[in-house]
Amino acid sequence: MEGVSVMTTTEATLPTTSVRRFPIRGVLWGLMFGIGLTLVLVVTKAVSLDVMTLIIVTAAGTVAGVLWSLFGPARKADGSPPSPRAPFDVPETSRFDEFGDGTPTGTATPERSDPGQF
Amino acid sequence: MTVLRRLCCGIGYGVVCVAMLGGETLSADDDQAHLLDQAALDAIRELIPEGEPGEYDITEADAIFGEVAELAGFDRDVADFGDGSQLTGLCGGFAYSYDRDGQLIDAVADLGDDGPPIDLLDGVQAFTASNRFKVDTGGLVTYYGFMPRDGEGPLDHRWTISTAGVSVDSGGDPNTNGNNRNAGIVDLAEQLPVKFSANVTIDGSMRSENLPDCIGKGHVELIGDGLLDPAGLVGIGLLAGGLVGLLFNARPARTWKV
Repeated sequence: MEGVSVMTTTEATLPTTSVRRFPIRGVLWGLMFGIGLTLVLVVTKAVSLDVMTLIIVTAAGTVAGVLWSLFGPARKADGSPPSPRAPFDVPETSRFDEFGDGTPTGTATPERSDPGQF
Repeated sequence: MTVLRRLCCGIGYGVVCVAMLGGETLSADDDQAHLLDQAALDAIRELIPEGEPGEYDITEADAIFGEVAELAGFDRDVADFGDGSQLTGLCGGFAYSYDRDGQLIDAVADLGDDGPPIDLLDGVQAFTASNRFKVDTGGLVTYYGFMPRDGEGPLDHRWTISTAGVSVDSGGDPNTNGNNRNAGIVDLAEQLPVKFSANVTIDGSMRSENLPDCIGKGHVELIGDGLLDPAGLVGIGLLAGGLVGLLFNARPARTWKV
């Protein structure tokens, strides 16, 4: 027995964007950037090979990475926006469902196809 | 750090001894006043072999140092430091640095007095931030060092060498014979597994039970191939990788929200 479903309509929602930030990635990539920057500055003799200098430059690179990951300009969202959620039907459960033949209420029973000969 | 350790050990006793001359010998803002007149400088240059770095024995090196000191117009004799008094500069010597082709690139000497070490090529103060002692990481350094030049050497001495604020090597010896001088050659091309370029400050000290401490520090320029050295290439790789990661992986991103 086919259940009775009542179609209700909800309001349509428009897609919006939110900004995701990646501070952990910023730390890791910033650390790598800072170490590389330190090495380049040392071998080009822009700075002296000194523990404090190494720590300061590496830390500066790491902090720059974190700041970039938090406050950098956000990339555009990938892909096209999903279509606005269309008004959809909400099947209302019918008391007759429990007597059904197992087919979910509100869905059409698939037509039997020719089983063929095996 | 192993590289630095080997390097500093390599430069080691002789070069650091030359640099160990008390705080007044280091001044980043030195005016590069000439410590030697031109005639003395020319005569000293004649003593320094160019293009044929040699290894000296102690006697030969001591004789060369005597000539350098005499030409420089300094008193070669180091005064006895007396009873309980402390004088800086009882350690000294000379060091000649050659590049990988055997060409002389720097030469310095300290005469064991209170004066600063001298750049034997330019006649100005050596081991300063503006006139670093140049060392080719693919070259070699010949050296001669003493402490003191006359008299019994340091007994039961302990020495340390540090650079970049970190101790890279230390050692010591009972020196029961009282030896007071040493000479040798450091082949950096052989001792350094990796070539690199950097400006470093080397600190050194030697303490013994019978002589005043010899403490000093100097600025050294390590000459390599810059960014083409392994350290430079690694630096470029990390810098580029970090930059790419920051730009494309750590940058804030907008996501669609429905």
